[in-house]
Amino acid sequence: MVFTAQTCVQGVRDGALLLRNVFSDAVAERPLVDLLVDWNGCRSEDAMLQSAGRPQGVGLHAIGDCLAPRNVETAMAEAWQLASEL
Amino acid sequence: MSEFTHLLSPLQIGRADHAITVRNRVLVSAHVPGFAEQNKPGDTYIAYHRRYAAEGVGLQLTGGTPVHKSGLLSLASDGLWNLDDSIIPGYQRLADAVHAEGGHILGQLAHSGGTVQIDLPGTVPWSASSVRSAITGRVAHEMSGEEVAEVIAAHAAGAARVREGGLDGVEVLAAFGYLPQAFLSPLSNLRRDHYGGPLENRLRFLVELLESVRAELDDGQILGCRLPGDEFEPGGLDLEQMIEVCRTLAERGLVDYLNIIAHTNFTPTGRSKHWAPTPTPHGVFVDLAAAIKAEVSVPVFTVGRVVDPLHAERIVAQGKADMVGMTRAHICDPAIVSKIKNRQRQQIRPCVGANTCIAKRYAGKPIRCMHNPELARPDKTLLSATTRQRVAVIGGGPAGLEVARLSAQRGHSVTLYEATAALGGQLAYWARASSMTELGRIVQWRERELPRLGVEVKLNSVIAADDLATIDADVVIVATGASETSRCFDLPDRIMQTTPMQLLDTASIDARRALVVSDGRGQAGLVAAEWLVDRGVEVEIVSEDFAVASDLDATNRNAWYERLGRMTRSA
Repeated sequence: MVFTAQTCVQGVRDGALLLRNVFSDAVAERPLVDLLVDWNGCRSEDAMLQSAGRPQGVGLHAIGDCLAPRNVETAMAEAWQLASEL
Repeated sequence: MSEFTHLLSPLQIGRADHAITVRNRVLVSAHVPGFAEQNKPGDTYIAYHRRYAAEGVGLQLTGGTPVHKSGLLSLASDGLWNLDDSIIPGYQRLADAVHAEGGHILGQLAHSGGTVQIDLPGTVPWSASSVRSAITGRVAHEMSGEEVAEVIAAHAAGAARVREGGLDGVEVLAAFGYLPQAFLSPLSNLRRDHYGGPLENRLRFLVELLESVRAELDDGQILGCRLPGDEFEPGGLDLEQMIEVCRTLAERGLVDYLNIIAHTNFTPTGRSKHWAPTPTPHGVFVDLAAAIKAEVSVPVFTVGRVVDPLHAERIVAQGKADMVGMTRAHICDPAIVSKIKNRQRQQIRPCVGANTCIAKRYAGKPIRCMHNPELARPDKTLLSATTRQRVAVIGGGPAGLEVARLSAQRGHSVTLYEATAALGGQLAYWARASSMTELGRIVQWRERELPRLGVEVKLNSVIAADDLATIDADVVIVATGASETSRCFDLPDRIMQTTPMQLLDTASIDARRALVVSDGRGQAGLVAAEWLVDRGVEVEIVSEDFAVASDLDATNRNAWYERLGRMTRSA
């Protein structure tokens, strides 16, 4: 297990992955890598909020990651905040 | 009741003729919740501790409280300071509140020595010797004999304020590499005077300090000491030396109890291990307490990830410790004692060791819990709703589960619609990773609670925007969460690309060398790396940040590095 910081994926050259140091711009090859796991964060599942027509007489609320991806603690806190007002 | 005979039995602490009878063996140990106002107990702070007493906790402590400016724990105003008499009225209100609920509370007195970085002009950190802290990189001032006397006198003055404030006594913090431990440990005490050298000399500071504190307390007040059972550092204090220390303190009548933890804040790994996150074994320091208990006649307390009252019961029943600290467990659910008394053990919200509480403190903020949002307002209780409403919740992740639970608790009629076949959202995925399984209990607990509270859960129920008009509800709550994103790297066919969640969904993996790009921060990249190493894949984890996982709190970050480091070494 190797930890490499300050580094991003630059692309591919001759079939090999290229990494680039974000400060020095030094590029290094990783020719033997055969799996890339990309953890790039999330995007909100907010389709319902974008298009929701508000049915008459129904209060519509949104909480948690559908507003913007954050964490479990914040999702729970927003649940408590809303539930305390219902 | 019979299930918890030992845990719920009273304990006498103190000298026979003046002992305090604590109503049970459940301890909420010293921690700084961050609710103090101008370094004094205010309404929120008092409400926080009163709640624990009201729910039946036997004994609680204030957070570590400095008594001298050379040993402040931080410059923030949200922790207590016992530097002058202005603390006394707050202590009195705190004592009255806890006593009114049948509980007991001690004031913990602390001097941070050389473990904390305090940059306050005119204030110099003092320690036993000028030894660099591996956490702060700073070197404290080595105390002169006069300064030793000054700090001991400050502890005595602090104890007098605890007495005037009507708390039930004092605990001296001699763990975490703080000043008394700094004197005790050969790693941080290089002195050539009668406070340094052999163990007997290194113990002298603590002995003199305890004698001075005792002299200020009333007969009916107790004096305890929190100590490491082992520093677990090369050349540091070990269990054998600590047994000798504890024996001396107990035999000389200097302490009424011993509260045993471990490690030292002089090293970054030590600091993160005494408050270790999941998946650290529960009751990680019980054996140290048991070894010391076998050698002393005063009660011995244990702490360290005891989260299940059945486990606490076994610890007491087997004579391994006299009281069991369940502090993080109470931060997650303050009603543990009430619930076990009422045969509602299954309803206890389980501490999963996410260490959100610790992370908040390290960040200088009031504590929070990953899945106890009520902690934010100790002075507020959710009341039953005045009007019963029909509530529809769309999405069964953490937000949806919790709003459904709390709404039902308030008396609303709740239906939860989940698009997939299982509850938990992304959290349920992360809980599949070998070191995150405890986090699954956040979901499992709610899966049990929702039916009990009458929530109707509809799985495999995809709700589209058009469906909103037809849902029979007064309130609709959208909690549809978020999904992973992925970048296009134009990889050749021989390099497979995936995301952490897709990986966790994979039955087996045909890869030899993986690159995990952890730019989304948090723990997802680390989970993916662990999953792969578990399956024999060589892994390099990269981040554009200054260090991989630098955004995590120290306890979780260190634990990840240790785990992944060990896995690699044994591979």
